[in-house]
Amino acid sequence: MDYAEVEAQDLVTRYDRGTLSAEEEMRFEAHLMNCPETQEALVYARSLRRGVRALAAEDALRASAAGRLVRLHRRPAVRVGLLAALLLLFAAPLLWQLRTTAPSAGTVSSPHVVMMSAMRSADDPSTIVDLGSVDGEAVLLAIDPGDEPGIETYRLTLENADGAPVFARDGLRLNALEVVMVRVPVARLRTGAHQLRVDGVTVDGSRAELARYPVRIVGEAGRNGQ
Amino acid sequence: MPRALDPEQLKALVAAIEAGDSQAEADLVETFGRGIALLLGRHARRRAEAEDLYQDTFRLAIQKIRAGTLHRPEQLPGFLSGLARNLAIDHYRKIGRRKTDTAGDALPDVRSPAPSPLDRLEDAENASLVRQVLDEMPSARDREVLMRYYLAEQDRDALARSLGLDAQQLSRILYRARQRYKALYLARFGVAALLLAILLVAYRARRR
Repeated sequence: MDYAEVEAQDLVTRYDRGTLSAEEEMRFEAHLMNCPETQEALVYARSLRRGVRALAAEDALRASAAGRLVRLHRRPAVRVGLLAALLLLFAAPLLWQLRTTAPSAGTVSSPHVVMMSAMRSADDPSTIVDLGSVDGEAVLLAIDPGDEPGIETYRLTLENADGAPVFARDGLRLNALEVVMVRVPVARLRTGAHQLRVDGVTVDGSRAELARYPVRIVGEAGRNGQ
Repeated sequence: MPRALDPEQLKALVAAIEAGDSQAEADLVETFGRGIALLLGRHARRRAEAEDLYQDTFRLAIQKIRAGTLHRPEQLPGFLSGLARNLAIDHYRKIGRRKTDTAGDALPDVRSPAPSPLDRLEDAENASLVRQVLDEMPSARDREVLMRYYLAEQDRDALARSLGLDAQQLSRILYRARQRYKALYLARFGVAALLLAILLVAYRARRR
């Protein structure tokens, strides 16, 4: 194996994702030991992948927080709280320092992101959400809503097998990654078959269903000890 | 960038270790430390475990080479990677057994650890660089490629087909994105940051 083969077969990314066969992986690792170019490529691939996921998580948290603010600011009593929140912004450097020394729930690091796209495997058209592998308190869903023109915002509704909504969020927009991100608390999720409904809302307020993605929720939340 | 060792250099290194040359042992760690750290970054679930496995790998490798069990010195890289990999597998197998012994039919703990403050900081920096790369990408399609490839982890061929691209076009988009990311990374953190990132685990293990 040489670096040309590594590049041609995209082995660095496939190794980082864990999609090489056992034999390929062993060959790649033997090569990795003595190839500085492959080592450097692996460092960047890991960093870039983590960056994309962290960015997606940041956008989801921001969208989630913005949604809460929109709902809250309609209550007069909350306006005082919002003023206090603005004052708190001046203390952001201090908060940042605290954040880097005191881990808390709902962080943007190592998010559990699940991608919803029309492209699914023919063997299993459902997107699998494994609660057992979720480290935090929420799952981030990244939804590819398609290319429907004239859509201003999106509404996402997760429905259980009976068609009852278990989670819904309005006013979502495409982020820098051209996806709609939403943070779904693990506590709201139960195992079983679900459907994620994506509605588009146009500027004039009319709403139309754009897509439905089958979702299968498996595993047991809390197994990770969080 | 460090250079790869050719077969003759590998033979000389192994022979020197067999002869008890302590400088050669240090050279072994110096030469292959980065590769082992990266490999363990893939197999170990916690930084602390990676550091322990890193030390165990070199300790055991030096023992075996001294004992003359490495008959084909040109296969030293594969010998080291196999050793590190097997140590990691054994480590987690033991953890799994211990949990099974103490908790009936409980499965081994396979979760990733909660992110450390350092992880958070790295993620925030990486995200900032990715945002810049995305802002500079010329089209929504290119951004979509990056998102689907790295976030949705979609297969290259399927991704190219679904976007109506050929393999070369897709490769070019990914290549440009990676190159830009690399340039931004180096501009922000400096060349030394790359070496630091690679050597982080190695330095820590050696310091202990």
